[in-house]
Amino acid sequence: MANTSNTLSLPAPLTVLSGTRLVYGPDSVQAAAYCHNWLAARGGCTPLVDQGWQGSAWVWNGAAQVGPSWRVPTLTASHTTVDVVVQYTQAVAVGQIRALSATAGGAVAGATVVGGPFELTLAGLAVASPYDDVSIELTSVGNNLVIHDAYIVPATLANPLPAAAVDGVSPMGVDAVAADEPLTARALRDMRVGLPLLRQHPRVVMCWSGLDPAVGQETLRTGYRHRTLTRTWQGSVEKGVTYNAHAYVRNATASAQRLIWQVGALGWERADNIISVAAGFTGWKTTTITLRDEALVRGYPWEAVSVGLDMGVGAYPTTCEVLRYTVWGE
Amino acid sequence: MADIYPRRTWPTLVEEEATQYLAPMSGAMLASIFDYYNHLALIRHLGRPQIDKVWEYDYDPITTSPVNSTQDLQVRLQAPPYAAHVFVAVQYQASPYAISAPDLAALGAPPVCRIVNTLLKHAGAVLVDSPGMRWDYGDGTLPPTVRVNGIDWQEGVVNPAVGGDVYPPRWAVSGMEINDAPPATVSRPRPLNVGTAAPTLLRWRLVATNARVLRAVAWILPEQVVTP
Repeated sequence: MANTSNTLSLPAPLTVLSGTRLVYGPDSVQAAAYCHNWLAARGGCTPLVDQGWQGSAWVWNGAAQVGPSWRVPTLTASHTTVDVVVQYTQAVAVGQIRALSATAGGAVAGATVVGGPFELTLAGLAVASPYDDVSIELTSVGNNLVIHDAYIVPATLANPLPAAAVDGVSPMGVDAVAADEPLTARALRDMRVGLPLLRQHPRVVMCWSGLDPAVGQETLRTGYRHRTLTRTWQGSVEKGVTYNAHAYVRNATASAQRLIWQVGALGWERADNIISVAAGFTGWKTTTITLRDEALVRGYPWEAVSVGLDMGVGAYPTTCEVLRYTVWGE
Repeated sequence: MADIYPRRTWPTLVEEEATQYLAPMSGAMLASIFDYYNHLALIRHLGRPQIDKVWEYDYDPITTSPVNSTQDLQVRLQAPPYAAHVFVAVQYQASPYAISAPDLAALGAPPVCRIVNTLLKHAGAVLVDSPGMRWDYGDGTLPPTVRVNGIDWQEGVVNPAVGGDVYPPRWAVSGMEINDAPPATVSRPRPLNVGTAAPTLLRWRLVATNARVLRAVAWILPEQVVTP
Protein backbone atom coordinates (compact mmCIF):
# COMPACT_ATOMS: atom_id res chain seq x y z
CA MET A 1 0.00 0.00 0.00
CA ALA A 2 1.52 3.25 -1.02
CA ASN A 3 0.11 6.47 0.31
CA THR A 4 -0.21 8.06 -3.07
CA SER A 5 -3.94 8.47 -3.61
CA ASN A 6 -5.40 11.95 -3.64
CA THR A 7 -8.95 10.81 -4.16
CA LEU A 8 -11.57 9.41 -1.85
CA SER A 9 -11.76 5.63 -1.89
CA LEU A 10 -14.32 3.63 -0.02
CA PRO A 11 -13.64 0.23 1.49
CA ALA A 12 -16.00 -2.58 0.62
CA PRO A 13 -17.36 -4.35 3.69
CA LEU A 14 -19.02 -6.99 1.56
CA THR A 15 -15.67 -8.34 0.46
CA VAL A 16 -14.81 -9.25 4.03
CA LEU A 17 -16.02 -12.63 5.22
CA SER A 18 -17.06 -13.10 8.81
CA GLY A 19 -15.45 -15.79 10.84
CA THR A 20 -12.32 -16.52 12.73
CA ARG A 21 -10.20 -16.69 9.62
CA LEU A 22 -9.43 -13.32 8.14
CA VAL A 23 -10.16 -13.16 4.47
CA TYR A 24 -10.06 -9.73 2.92
CA GLY A 25 -9.15 -7.99 -0.27
CA PRO A 26 -6.00 -5.91 -0.01
CA ASP A 27 -7.66 -3.27 -2.13
CA SER A 28 -10.26 -2.74 0.57
CA VAL A 29 -7.65 -2.21 3.25
CA GLN A 30 -5.92 0.24 0.98
CA ALA A 31 -9.19 2.02 0.31
CA ALA A 32 -9.89 2.24 4.03
CA ALA A 33 -6.52 3.85 4.62
CA TYR A 34 -7.03 6.26 1.74
CA CYS A 35 -10.47 7.05 3.10
CA HIS A 36 -8.95 7.78 6.49
CA ASN A 37 -6.43 10.16 5.01
CA TRP A 38 -8.98 11.89 2.79
CA LEU A 39 -11.35 12.40 5.70
CA ALA A 40 -8.54 13.76 7.85
CA ALA A 41 -7.48 16.26 5.18
CA ARG A 42 -10.80 17.26 3.62
CA GLY A 43 -13.66 15.75 5.54
CA GLY A 44 -15.83 18.39 7.11
CA CYS A 45 -14.45 21.30 5.11
CA THR A 46 -17.96 22.60 4.62
CA PRO A 47 -19.31 26.10 5.20
CA LEU A 48 -19.01 27.50 8.70
CA VAL A 49 -20.94 30.67 7.92
CA ASP A 50 -23.35 31.67 5.16
CA GLN A 51 -25.19 34.92 5.67
CA GLY A 52 -26.83 37.38 3.30
CA TRP A 53 -27.99 40.99 3.50
CA GLN A 54 -30.78 42.18 1.26
CA GLY A 55 -31.12 45.72 -0.06
CA SER A 56 -29.27 48.19 2.10
CA ALA A 57 -29.15 46.00 5.20
CA TRP A 58 -25.33 46.26 5.22
CA VAL A 59 -24.02 49.37 3.52
CA TRP A 60 -20.90 51.14 4.74
CA ASN A 61 -19.50 54.58 3.92
CA GLY A 62 -16.65 55.59 6.19
CA ALA A 63 -13.35 54.62 7.81
CA ALA A 64 -12.45 51.06 8.71
CA GLN A 65 -15.29 49.44 10.61
CA VAL A 66 -16.05 45.85 11.59
CA GLY A 67 -19.51 44.63 10.64
CA PRO A 68 -20.43 41.11 11.79
CA SER A 69 -18.29 38.78 13.89
CA TRP A 70 -18.93 35.04 13.85
CA ARG A 71 -17.70 32.41 16.30
CA VAL A 72 -16.55 29.45 14.24
CA PRO A 73 -14.92 26.13 15.17
CA THR A 74 -11.73 24.75 13.68
CA LEU A 75 -11.95 21.19 12.42
CA THR A 76 -8.66 20.09 13.96
CA ALA A 77 -5.56 21.74 15.34
CA SER A 78 -4.08 21.41 11.84
CA HIS A 79 -6.92 23.11 9.98
CA THR A 80 -5.67 26.56 10.84
CA THR A 81 -6.91 28.68 7.95
CA VAL A 82 -10.27 29.59 6.48
CA ASP A 83 -11.34 31.18 3.24
CA VAL A 84 -13.76 34.10 3.40
CA VAL A 85 -15.90 34.78 0.33
CA VAL A 86 -17.70 38.12 0.10
CA GLN A 87 -20.12 39.32 -2.55
CA TYR A 88 -20.22 43.10 -2.87
CA THR A 89 -21.15 46.10 -5.02
CA GLN A 90 -19.56 49.55 -5.05
CA ALA A 91 -19.76 52.56 -7.34
CA VAL A 92 -16.22 53.93 -6.94
CA ALA A 93 -13.08 51.90 -6.27
CA VAL A 94 -12.32 53.30 -2.86
CA GLY A 95 -13.33 50.37 -0.74
CA GLN A 96 -11.39 47.67 1.03
CA ILE A 97 -12.67 44.46 2.53
CA ARG A 98 -10.66 42.66 5.20
CA ALA A 99 -11.23 39.45 7.12
CA LEU A 100 -9.94 39.32 10.69
CA SER A 101 -9.61 36.64 13.32
CA ALA A 102 -9.67 37.54 16.98
CA THR A 103 -7.16 35.21 18.58
CA ALA A 104 -4.77 34.26 15.80
CA GLY A 105 -4.40 37.87 14.73
CA GLY A 106 -4.48 37.15 11.02
CA ALA A 107 -5.75 39.67 8.55
CA VAL A 108 -6.25 39.51 4.81
CA ALA A 109 -6.74 42.59 2.71
CA GLY A 110 -8.92 42.56 -0.35
CA ALA A 111 -8.88 45.30 -2.95
CA THR A 112 -12.26 45.80 -4.50
CA VAL A 113 -13.19 46.91 -7.96
CA VAL A 114 -15.99 49.05 -9.29
CA GLY A 115 -19.40 47.65 -10.07
CA GLY A 116 -20.88 44.41 -9.01
CA PRO A 117 -22.03 42.29 -7.59
CA PHE A 118 -18.56 40.77 -7.51
CA GLU A 119 -17.30 37.81 -5.57
CA LEU A 120 -14.09 38.33 -3.63
CA THR A 121 -12.25 35.44 -1.94
CA LEU A 122 -10.04 36.31 1.00
CA ALA A 123 -8.00 33.12 1.26
CA GLY A 124 -5.84 31.80 4.04
CA LEU A 125 -7.07 33.67 7.10
CA ALA A 126 -5.34 32.16 10.15
CA VAL A 127 -7.65 30.98 12.91
CA ALA A 128 -6.98 29.55 16.34
CA SER A 129 -8.10 26.17 17.64
CA PRO A 130 -10.55 25.01 18.90
CA TYR A 131 -12.54 28.05 17.80
CA ASP A 132 -12.08 31.64 16.81
CA ASP A 133 -14.05 34.80 16.16
CA VAL A 134 -13.91 35.80 12.49
CA SER A 135 -15.08 39.24 11.45
CA ILE A 136 -15.27 41.33 8.29
CA GLU A 137 -14.08 44.92 8.20
CA LEU A 138 -15.03 47.47 5.55
CA THR A 139 -13.34 50.70 4.53
CA SER A 140 -15.09 52.94 2.04
CA VAL A 141 -14.69 56.67 2.49
CA GLY A 142 -16.94 58.77 0.34
CA ASN A 143 -18.83 56.03 -1.43
CA ASN A 144 -21.15 53.25 -0.47
CA LEU A 145 -19.86 49.71 -0.23
CA VAL A 146 -22.73 47.23 -0.26
CA ILE A 147 -22.25 43.70 1.03
CA HIS A 148 -24.65 41.04 -0.24
CA ASP A 149 -23.27 37.77 1.07
CA ALA A 150 -20.50 36.40 3.27
CA TYR A 151 -19.39 32.78 3.26
CA ILE A 152 -16.63 31.18 5.38
CA VAL A 153 -15.24 27.72 4.75
CA PRO A 154 -12.21 25.89 6.21
CA ALA A 155 -9.25 25.50 3.88
CA THR A 156 -8.49 21.87 3.09
CA LEU A 157 -5.12 20.29 3.85
CA ALA A 158 -2.79 18.84 1.26
CA ASN A 159 -3.81 15.45 -0.03
CA PRO A 160 -2.33 12.75 -0.05
CA LEU A 161 -1.88 13.44 3.58
CA PRO A 162 0.37 12.00 6.23
CA ALA A 163 -2.61 11.51 8.49
CA ALA A 164 -0.53 11.79 11.64
CA ALA A 165 -0.22 15.47 10.84
CA VAL A 166 -3.86 15.93 11.76
CA ASP A 167 -4.93 13.51 14.42
CA GLY A 168 -1.75 11.73 15.44
CA VAL A 169 -3.11 8.50 14.05
CA SER A 170 -1.64 7.18 10.85
CA PRO A 171 -2.85 3.96 9.32
CA MET A 172 -0.75 4.72 6.29
CA GLY A 173 2.24 5.85 8.22
CA VAL A 174 3.57 9.33 8.68
CA ASP A 175 5.36 9.22 5.37
CA ALA A 176 4.25 7.73 2.12
CA VAL A 177 5.16 4.09 1.62
CA ALA A 178 6.74 3.35 -1.71
CA ALA A 179 5.75 -0.29 -1.98
CA ASP A 180 3.09 -2.62 -0.65
CA GLU A 181 3.69 -3.81 2.90
CA PRO A 182 1.99 -6.46 5.04
CA LEU A 183 -1.05 -5.39 6.99
CA THR A 184 0.00 -4.84 10.58
CA ALA A 185 -1.95 -4.93 13.80
CA ARG A 186 -0.70 -1.40 14.39
CA ALA A 187 -2.39 -0.19 11.23
CA LEU A 188 -5.69 -1.69 12.37
CA ARG A 189 -5.28 -0.16 15.79
CA ASP A 190 -4.62 3.23 14.27
CA MET A 191 -7.76 2.90 12.18
CA ARG A 192 -9.75 1.97 15.25
CA VAL A 193 -8.39 4.84 17.29
CA GLY A 194 -8.67 7.32 14.45
CA LEU A 195 -12.29 6.70 13.54
CA PRO A 196 -13.82 8.52 16.53
CA LEU A 197 -11.43 11.42 15.95
CA LEU A 198 -12.56 11.72 12.35
CA ARG A 199 -16.16 11.50 13.49
CA GLN A 200 -15.78 14.52 15.71
CA HIS A 201 -14.75 17.06 13.10
CA PRO A 202 -17.18 19.83 13.99
CA ARG A 203 -20.04 20.72 11.70
CA VAL A 204 -21.89 23.98 12.10
CA VAL A 205 -25.63 23.67 12.49
CA MET A 206 -26.35 27.38 12.68
CA CYS A 207 -24.24 30.53 12.88
CA TRP A 208 -25.35 34.16 12.79
CA SER A 209 -23.97 37.55 13.70
CA GLY A 210 -25.56 40.94 13.85
CA LEU A 211 -23.73 44.01 12.63
CA ASP A 212 -21.65 46.19 14.91
CA PRO A 213 -23.47 49.16 16.50
CA ALA A 214 -21.55 51.59 14.29
CA VAL A 215 -23.08 49.96 11.24
CA GLY A 216 -26.49 49.46 12.72
CA GLN A 217 -26.56 47.07 15.63
CA GLU A 218 -28.82 44.14 15.14
CA THR A 219 -30.13 41.84 17.79
CA LEU A 220 -32.41 38.88 17.37
CA ARG A 221 -36.01 39.88 17.15
CA THR A 222 -37.86 39.08 20.34
CA GLY A 223 -41.25 37.42 20.46
CA TYR A 224 -40.13 35.03 17.78
CA ARG A 225 -38.41 31.64 17.31
CA HIS A 226 -35.20 31.66 15.29
CA ARG A 227 -34.68 28.10 14.19
CA THR A 228 -33.25 25.87 11.54
CA LEU A 229 -33.42 22.25 10.45
CA THR A 230 -30.58 19.82 10.67
CA ARG A 231 -29.90 16.15 10.29
CA THR A 232 -29.29 13.80 13.20
CA TRP A 233 -27.12 10.73 13.14
CA GLN A 234 -29.50 7.92 13.83
CA GLY A 235 -28.29 4.91 15.73
CA SER A 236 -24.61 5.74 15.70
CA VAL A 237 -24.31 6.96 19.24
CA GLU A 238 -26.63 6.04 22.05
CA LYS A 239 -28.70 8.82 23.58
CA GLY A 240 -27.88 11.31 20.89
CA VAL A 241 -24.95 13.50 19.95
CA THR A 242 -23.94 16.54 21.96
CA TYR A 243 -23.40 19.93 20.33
CA ASN A 244 -22.06 23.19 21.71
CA ALA A 245 -24.22 26.29 21.63
CA HIS A 246 -22.76 29.78 22.06
CA ALA A 247 -24.66 33.05 22.24
CA TYR A 248 -23.32 36.54 22.78
CA VAL A 249 -25.98 38.18 24.93
CA ARG A 250 -26.70 41.47 26.60
CA ASN A 251 -29.11 41.89 29.46
CA ALA A 252 -29.59 45.60 29.97
CA THR A 253 -32.47 45.14 32.36
CA ALA A 254 -32.41 45.14 36.14
CA SER A 255 -33.62 41.56 36.42
CA ALA A 256 -32.33 38.16 35.37
CA GLN A 257 -33.50 36.92 31.98
CA ARG A 258 -33.64 33.52 30.37
CA LEU A 259 -32.21 32.35 27.11
CA ILE A 260 -33.86 29.23 25.75
CA TRP A 261 -32.37 26.85 23.21
CA GLN A 262 -35.01 24.58 21.79
CA VAL A 263 -34.44 21.22 20.19
CA GLY A 264 -37.14 19.01 18.74
CA ALA A 265 -39.60 18.67 15.94
CA LEU A 266 -41.28 21.70 14.45
CA GLY A 267 -44.30 22.68 16.43
CA TRP A 268 -43.44 21.12 19.75
CA GLU A 269 -39.96 22.30 20.58
CA ARG A 270 -38.66 21.15 23.89
CA ALA A 271 -37.50 23.94 26.14
CA ASP A 272 -34.85 21.90 27.84
CA ASN A 273 -31.83 24.17 27.43
CA ILE A 274 -32.42 27.21 29.59
CA ILE A 275 -29.61 29.62 30.37
CA SER A 276 -29.94 32.27 33.03
CA VAL A 277 -28.54 35.69 32.12
CA ALA A 278 -27.89 37.94 35.12
CA ALA A 279 -28.94 41.57 35.20
CA GLY A 280 -26.40 43.78 33.46
CA PHE A 281 -24.54 40.85 31.94
CA THR A 282 -22.91 41.21 28.53
CA GLY A 283 -20.82 38.40 27.05
CA TRP A 284 -20.86 34.85 25.78
CA LYS A 285 -23.13 32.20 27.24
CA THR A 286 -22.56 28.58 26.34
CA THR A 287 -24.37 25.33 26.84
CA THR A 288 -24.62 21.91 25.27
CA ILE A 289 -27.48 20.62 23.17
CA THR A 290 -28.13 16.94 22.56
CA LEU A 291 -29.56 16.09 19.17
CA ARG A 292 -31.47 12.85 19.47
CA ASP A 293 -33.12 10.96 16.67
CA GLU A 294 -36.32 12.75 15.90
CA ALA A 295 -37.44 11.86 12.38
CA LEU A 296 -40.46 14.04 12.91
CA VAL A 297 -39.96 16.78 10.35
CA ARG A 298 -42.36 16.10 7.54
CA GLY A 299 -40.76 15.68 4.19
CA TYR A 300 -37.31 14.69 5.28
CA PRO A 301 -36.24 11.19 4.33
CA TRP A 302 -33.77 11.04 7.18
CA GLU A 303 -33.83 11.81 10.84
CA ALA A 304 -34.00 15.55 11.27
CA VAL A 305 -34.50 17.94 14.10
CA SER A 306 -35.33 21.60 14.61
CA VAL A 307 -32.83 23.68 16.58
CA GLY A 308 -33.19 27.28 17.52
CA LEU A 309 -33.44 30.11 19.96
CA ASP A 310 -36.79 30.95 21.48
CA MET A 311 -36.78 34.71 21.90
CA GLY A 312 -39.75 35.01 24.16
CA VAL A 313 -42.66 33.16 22.64
CA GLY A 314 -45.67 32.28 24.77
CA ALA A 315 -44.75 31.36 28.32
CA TYR A 316 -41.14 32.43 28.09
CA PRO A 317 -41.03 36.20 27.69
CA THR A 318 -37.58 37.72 27.54
CA THR A 319 -35.94 41.03 26.94
CA CYS A 320 -32.48 39.52 26.72
CA GLU A 321 -30.67 40.68 23.60
CA VAL A 322 -28.78 38.18 21.44
CA LEU A 323 -26.12 39.70 19.21
CA ARG A 324 -24.50 36.52 17.87
CA TYR A 325 -25.09 32.80 18.12
CA THR A 326 -23.69 29.55 16.84
CA VAL A 327 -24.22 25.81 17.31
CA TRP A 328 -21.64 23.24 16.32
CA GLY A 329 -20.79 19.63 17.00
CA GLU A 330 -19.89 16.41 15.26
CA MET B 1 -36.72 7.06 0.32
CA ALA B 2 -35.38 3.57 0.53
CA ASP B 3 -35.03 3.44 -3.22
CA ILE B 4 -32.48 6.22 -3.02
CA TYR B 5 -30.48 5.30 0.00
CA PRO B 6 -31.09 1.77 1.23
CA ARG B 7 -30.32 1.67 4.88
CA ARG B 8 -27.63 -0.69 6.00
CA THR B 9 -27.01 -1.85 9.47
CA TRP B 10 -25.58 1.08 11.34
CA PRO B 11 -21.92 0.74 12.04
CA THR B 12 -20.47 -0.65 15.18
CA LEU B 13 -17.01 0.09 16.38
CA VAL B 14 -14.67 -2.67 17.44
CA GLU B 15 -13.15 -2.51 20.85
CA GLU B 16 -9.75 -0.91 20.69
CA GLU B 17 -8.38 -3.55 23.02
CA ALA B 18 -9.23 -6.20 20.48
CA THR B 19 -6.45 -4.89 18.27
CA GLN B 20 -3.82 -4.73 20.97
CA TYR B 21 -3.05 -8.35 21.79
CA LEU B 22 -2.07 -11.35 19.81
CA ALA B 23 -5.21 -13.12 18.72
CA PRO B 24 -6.78 -14.32 15.53
CA MET B 25 -8.65 -11.47 13.94
CA SER B 26 -12.07 -12.10 12.52
CA GLY B 27 -13.28 -10.80 9.23
CA ALA B 28 -16.22 -9.27 11.05
CA MET B 29 -13.91 -6.94 12.90
CA LEU B 30 -12.35 -5.65 9.75
CA ALA B 31 -15.78 -5.40 8.17
CA SER B 32 -16.96 -3.27 11.06
CA ILE B 33 -14.05 -0.90 10.53
CA PHE B 34 -14.88 -0.68 6.84
CA ASP B 35 -18.54 -0.12 7.66
CA TYR B 36 -17.58 2.73 9.91
CA TYR B 37 -15.42 4.34 7.27
CA ASN B 38 -18.33 4.15 4.86
CA HIS B 39 -20.64 5.64 7.46
CA LEU B 40 -18.29 8.54 8.15
CA ALA B 41 -17.54 9.16 4.49
CA LEU B 42 -20.99 8.79 2.95
CA ILE B 43 -23.24 10.01 5.70
CA ARG B 44 -21.43 12.19 8.16
CA HIS B 45 -18.92 13.92 5.93
CA LEU B 46 -20.10 13.76 2.33
CA GLY B 47 -23.72 14.05 3.39
CA ARG B 48 -23.22 17.09 5.55
CA PRO B 49 -22.26 19.98 3.26
CA GLN B 50 -25.20 21.71 4.78
CA ILE B 51 -26.03 25.29 4.11
CA ASP B 52 -27.78 27.23 6.83
CA LYS B 53 -28.10 30.60 5.21
CA VAL B 54 -29.84 33.54 6.84
CA TRP B 55 -30.90 36.69 5.00
CA GLU B 56 -31.36 40.00 6.72
CA TYR B 57 -33.40 42.94 5.56
CA ASP B 58 -33.30 46.67 5.99
CA TYR B 59 -36.79 46.51 7.46
CA ASP B 60 -38.59 44.19 9.85
CA PRO B 61 -39.81 41.32 7.67
CA ILE B 62 -42.04 39.96 10.39
CA THR B 63 -44.29 43.00 10.28
CA THR B 64 -44.02 43.70 6.56
CA SER B 65 -46.28 41.99 4.08
CA PRO B 66 -44.58 39.64 1.64
CA VAL B 67 -47.23 40.51 -0.94
CA ASN B 68 -45.64 42.23 -3.93
CA SER B 69 -42.22 41.18 -2.69
CA THR B 70 -39.88 39.70 -5.28
CA GLN B 71 -36.44 38.22 -4.74
CA ASP B 72 -33.69 36.65 -6.78
CA LEU B 73 -31.34 34.88 -4.38
CA GLN B 74 -28.41 32.56 -4.88
CA VAL B 75 -26.78 30.11 -2.50
CA ARG B 76 -23.40 28.45 -2.94
CA LEU B 77 -23.35 24.68 -2.66
CA GLN B 78 -20.31 22.44 -2.54
CA ALA B 79 -20.63 19.14 -4.35
CA PRO B 80 -18.35 16.53 -2.75
CA PRO B 81 -17.19 13.30 -4.37
CA TYR B 82 -20.01 10.82 -4.98
CA ALA B 83 -22.55 13.66 -4.95
CA ALA B 84 -25.84 12.48 -6.38
CA HIS B 85 -28.74 14.40 -4.90
CA VAL B 86 -29.52 17.72 -3.31
CA PHE B 87 -32.16 18.29 -0.69
CA VAL B 88 -33.28 21.80 0.12
CA ALA B 89 -35.62 23.56 2.50
CA VAL B 90 -36.57 27.18 2.91
CA GLN B 91 -38.13 29.16 5.68
CA TYR B 92 -40.38 31.57 3.90
CA GLN B 93 -43.17 34.02 4.33
CA ALA B 94 -46.08 33.94 1.94
CA SER B 95 -49.64 34.99 2.33
CA PRO B 96 -52.37 35.91 -0.09
CA TYR B 97 -53.80 38.28 2.47
CA ALA B 98 -52.88 41.92 2.40
CA ILE B 99 -51.95 43.65 5.59
CA SER B 100 -55.02 45.88 5.50
CA ALA B 101 -58.51 45.87 4.02
CA PRO B 102 -57.72 48.66 1.51
CA ASP B 103 -54.67 46.76 0.34
CA LEU B 104 -56.76 43.66 0.00
CA ALA B 105 -59.32 45.52 -2.08
CA ALA B 106 -56.61 46.96 -4.30
CA LEU B 107 -55.00 43.60 -4.87
CA GLY B 108 -58.19 41.88 -5.88
CA ALA B 109 -57.80 38.15 -6.22
CA PRO B 110 -55.32 36.53 -3.86
CA PRO B 111 -51.89 36.56 -5.47
CA VAL B 112 -50.06 33.37 -6.27
CA CYS B 113 -47.13 32.85 -3.95
CA ARG B 114 -44.23 31.20 -5.67
CA ILE B 115 -40.61 30.24 -5.08
CA VAL B 116 -38.92 28.79 -8.15
CA ASN B 117 -35.72 26.84 -7.61
CA THR B 118 -33.00 26.08 -10.11
CA LEU B 119 -29.60 24.52 -9.70
CA LEU B 120 -26.75 26.11 -11.60
CA LYS B 121 -23.12 25.49 -12.18
CA HIS B 122 -21.16 28.01 -10.23
CA ALA B 123 -19.42 29.75 -13.11
CA GLY B 124 -22.44 30.40 -15.29
CA ALA B 125 -26.07 29.97 -15.94
CA VAL B 126 -25.79 26.40 -17.15
CA LEU B 127 -28.42 24.20 -15.65
CA VAL B 128 -27.20 21.01 -14.14
CA ASP B 129 -30.65 19.59 -14.40
CA SER B 130 -32.72 21.50 -16.93
CA PRO B 131 -36.22 21.04 -15.45
CA GLY B 132 -34.99 22.62 -12.25
CA MET B 133 -36.19 21.98 -8.77
CA ARG B 134 -39.85 22.27 -7.95
CA TRP B 135 -41.90 22.06 -4.86
CA ASP B 136 -44.52 19.42 -5.24
CA TYR B 137 -47.22 21.94 -6.06
CA GLY B 138 -46.30 22.77 -9.60
CA ASP B 139 -44.11 25.51 -11.00
CA GLY B 140 -42.83 26.59 -7.64
CA THR B 141 -46.22 27.57 -6.31
CA LEU B 142 -46.23 27.26 -2.57
CA PRO B 143 -48.67 25.02 -0.75
CA PRO B 144 -52.28 26.14 -1.09
CA THR B 145 -52.75 25.76 2.63
CA VAL B 146 -51.35 29.25 3.07
CA ARG B 147 -54.67 30.45 1.70
CA VAL B 148 -56.67 28.79 4.40
CA ASN B 149 -58.64 31.31 6.37
CA GLY B 150 -57.55 30.58 9.86
CA ILE B 151 -55.54 31.53 12.84
CA ASP B 152 -52.77 29.01 12.57
CA TRP B 153 -49.99 31.42 13.37
CA GLN B 154 -47.26 28.86 13.32
CA GLU B 155 -48.18 27.89 9.79
CA GLY B 156 -47.70 31.36 8.47
CA VAL B 157 -51.33 32.06 7.67
CA VAL B 158 -52.06 35.71 8.09
CA ASN B 159 -55.59 36.96 8.10
CA PRO B 160 -56.52 40.55 8.85
CA ALA B 161 -59.82 39.34 10.24
CA VAL B 162 -58.04 37.80 13.20
CA GLY B 163 -55.68 40.64 13.80
CA GLY B 164 -52.86 39.39 11.67
CA ASP B 165 -50.36 42.15 11.37
CA VAL B 166 -47.30 39.94 11.57
CA TYR B 167 -46.07 37.39 9.07
CA PRO B 168 -44.55 34.41 10.82
CA PRO B 169 -42.56 32.17 8.51
CA ARG B 170 -43.34 28.67 7.41
CA TRP B 171 -41.00 25.90 6.36
CA ALA B 172 -41.13 24.20 2.98
CA VAL B 173 -38.96 21.13 2.82
CA SER B 174 -37.87 19.30 -0.23
CA GLY B 175 -37.45 15.70 0.73
CA MET B 176 -40.92 14.61 -0.20
CA GLU B 177 -41.99 17.67 -2.09
CA ILE B 178 -39.37 18.29 -4.70
CA ASN B 179 -39.59 16.96 -8.20
CA ASP B 180 -37.55 17.34 -11.29
CA ALA B 181 -40.53 16.83 -13.58
CA PRO B 182 -44.05 18.27 -13.66
CA PRO B 183 -46.10 16.78 -10.84
CA ALA B 184 -48.62 15.25 -13.20
CA THR B 185 -46.02 12.90 -14.58
CA VAL B 186 -44.27 12.04 -11.36
CA SER B 187 -44.86 8.61 -9.94
CA ARG B 188 -42.97 9.27 -6.76
CA PRO B 189 -41.34 12.30 -5.19
CA ARG B 190 -37.61 12.28 -5.43
CA PRO B 191 -34.76 14.70 -4.96
CA LEU B 192 -32.94 16.47 -7.70
CA ASN B 193 -30.31 14.49 -9.48
CA VAL B 194 -27.02 16.34 -9.39
CA GLY B 195 -25.39 14.04 -11.90
CA THR B 196 -22.29 11.94 -11.74
CA ALA B 197 -20.00 14.59 -13.15
CA ALA B 198 -21.01 17.15 -10.60
CA PRO B 199 -18.84 20.25 -10.44
CA THR B 200 -17.33 21.03 -7.09
CA LEU B 201 -19.30 24.22 -6.67
CA LEU B 202 -22.95 24.76 -7.51
CA ARG B 203 -25.42 27.56 -7.11
CA TRP B 204 -28.96 27.17 -5.92
CA ARG B 205 -31.11 30.02 -7.20
CA LEU B 206 -34.38 30.99 -5.60
CA VAL B 207 -36.74 33.38 -7.33
CA ALA B 208 -39.57 34.34 -5.00
CA THR B 209 -42.76 36.10 -6.05
CA ASN B 210 -45.20 37.39 -3.44
CA ALA B 211 -43.01 35.55 -0.97
CA ARG B 212 -39.93 36.26 1.07
CA VAL B 213 -37.15 33.84 1.98
CA LEU B 214 -35.65 34.19 5.44
CA ARG B 215 -33.51 31.09 5.67
CA ALA B 216 -32.32 28.37 3.33
CA VAL B 217 -31.04 24.93 4.26
CA ALA B 218 -29.48 22.54 1.79
CA TRP B 219 -27.24 19.58 1.62
CA ILE B 220 -25.96 17.37 -1.13
CA LEU B 221 -26.12 13.66 -0.60
CA PRO B 222 -24.33 10.76 -2.22
CA GLU B 223 -25.72 7.56 -3.55
CA GLN B 224 -24.94 4.68 -1.30
CA VAL B 225 -21.65 3.26 -2.49
CA VAL B 226 -20.24 0.15 -0.92
CA THR B 227 -17.56 -0.62 -3.43
CA PRO B 228 -14.65 1.60 -4.42
